[in-house]
Amino acid sequence: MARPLIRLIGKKRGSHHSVSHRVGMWGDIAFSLTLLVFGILAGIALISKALRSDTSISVDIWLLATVVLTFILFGGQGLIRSVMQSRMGHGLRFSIQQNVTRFDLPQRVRSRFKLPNVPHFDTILASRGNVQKWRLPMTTGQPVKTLAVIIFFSIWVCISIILLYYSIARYLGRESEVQFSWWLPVLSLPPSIGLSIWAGRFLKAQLQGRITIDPLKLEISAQPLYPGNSYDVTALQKGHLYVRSLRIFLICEEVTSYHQGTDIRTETHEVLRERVFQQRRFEIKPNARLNETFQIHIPAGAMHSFQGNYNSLQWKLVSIGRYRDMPEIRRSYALIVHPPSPHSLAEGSDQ
Amino acid sequence: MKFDPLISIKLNHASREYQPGDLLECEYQVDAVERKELKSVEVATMWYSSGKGDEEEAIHYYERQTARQSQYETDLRELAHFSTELPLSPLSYSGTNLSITWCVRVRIIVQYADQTPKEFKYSQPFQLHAYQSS
Repeated sequence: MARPLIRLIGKKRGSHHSVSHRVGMWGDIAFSLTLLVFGILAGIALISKALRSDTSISVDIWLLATVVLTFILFGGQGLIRSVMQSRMGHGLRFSIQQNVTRFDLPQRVRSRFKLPNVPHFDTILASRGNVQKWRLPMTTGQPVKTLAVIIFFSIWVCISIILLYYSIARYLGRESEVQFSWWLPVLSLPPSIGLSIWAGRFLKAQLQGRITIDPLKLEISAQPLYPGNSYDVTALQKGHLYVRSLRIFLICEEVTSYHQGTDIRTETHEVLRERVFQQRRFEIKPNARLNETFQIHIPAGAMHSFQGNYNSLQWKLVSIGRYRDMPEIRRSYALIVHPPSPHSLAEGSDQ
Repeated sequence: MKFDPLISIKLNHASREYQPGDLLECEYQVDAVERKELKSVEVATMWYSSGKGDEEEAIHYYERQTARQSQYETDLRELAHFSTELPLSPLSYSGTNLSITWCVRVRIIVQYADQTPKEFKYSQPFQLHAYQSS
């Protein structure tokens, strides 16, 4: 079947589109540019209006300013993204990479270009440890899920309070400004309260163990890690707990994302899983916190951490804790493994 | 009947095994095509991923030659050469759901008489291994 030269409206087919990439890119640029120009013009008009007004700036101007600022931000961000995704952007990136030594770029940026597709260990953002040199960043809990439950719970509590206030106001015979029949909010009140209670219970289940238990902290003797080397890791936990079991695993996994229709699926495959620490049936008391040091060894031939757009290879420590009267708590701590360098090999042979 | 053009790539390491920072030297040549039909030759040192995830690739070195680069027409079929210092990462990797393969890829654009331009490409894979303690 002959394909038309230009199709402005096309159905998305997974990662492929029925319109040409070029049409999509120019459409994106035109849309972002329009949004940006409109935002700037509206912003100028709004500022001039605000300057001309004698009295203080009203709420509606602040509201409009927020909308205009959103236009400018989205327009600018879209324009930069479109340009960077175009051939000009590819060329620009390529040129920067080729000439990186000529520019006076900071050390952090330089090292990012030196080790392409390897996560960079940022000494500024990383936390110092108390026992070992670095504290490992915790990458789990399920923050998005917990945040969604908090938002859901907050919305339904607000709705319930408003409905309750309106119902009481109607009952007491006060006039309400809201113009709709009285029975609608009154009838909506029980399901709204029910949803609030359900969301509250769900939130409690989500937060139980996360709030009541002081999080397990892991500290490591060095970062980034290199294959063939061993490192000391210290597990620290405070509180008053009876621990049924605490296990810590060194895990290396391939994380791959792929398009299936219009969905993006992610699959994880464990390449390495090694238990590096285990302790059963012990008690943590306020005056006797958990403070255990153990060693991890990155195998000599192991692949370094890799970060692509759709694929990655991640190293991490995973703790699985089972506590009395608490659900099982699983936490991940990201590790960064760099490819071996002559310096790291010399260190490895000394060990 | 027209045969497809022949693209040959020769690397300086016969084992096709390199370490980060090694100098990769490559000779490439295009054959079985008329001089006027060969419009451009692109050569790239790059890596690509394969496996379960969506494929991605990144170019480390790129060079493009066209038939009309200067006032004189150049013969793109002649033996050409380039060299590049290999980066520190990513290293070659062959896993279950993910593989990373390094290669030198030559891509040519050929336009036969009264036909639309046609693309041919050939890749020569090589291994980028980690530093080994000698």
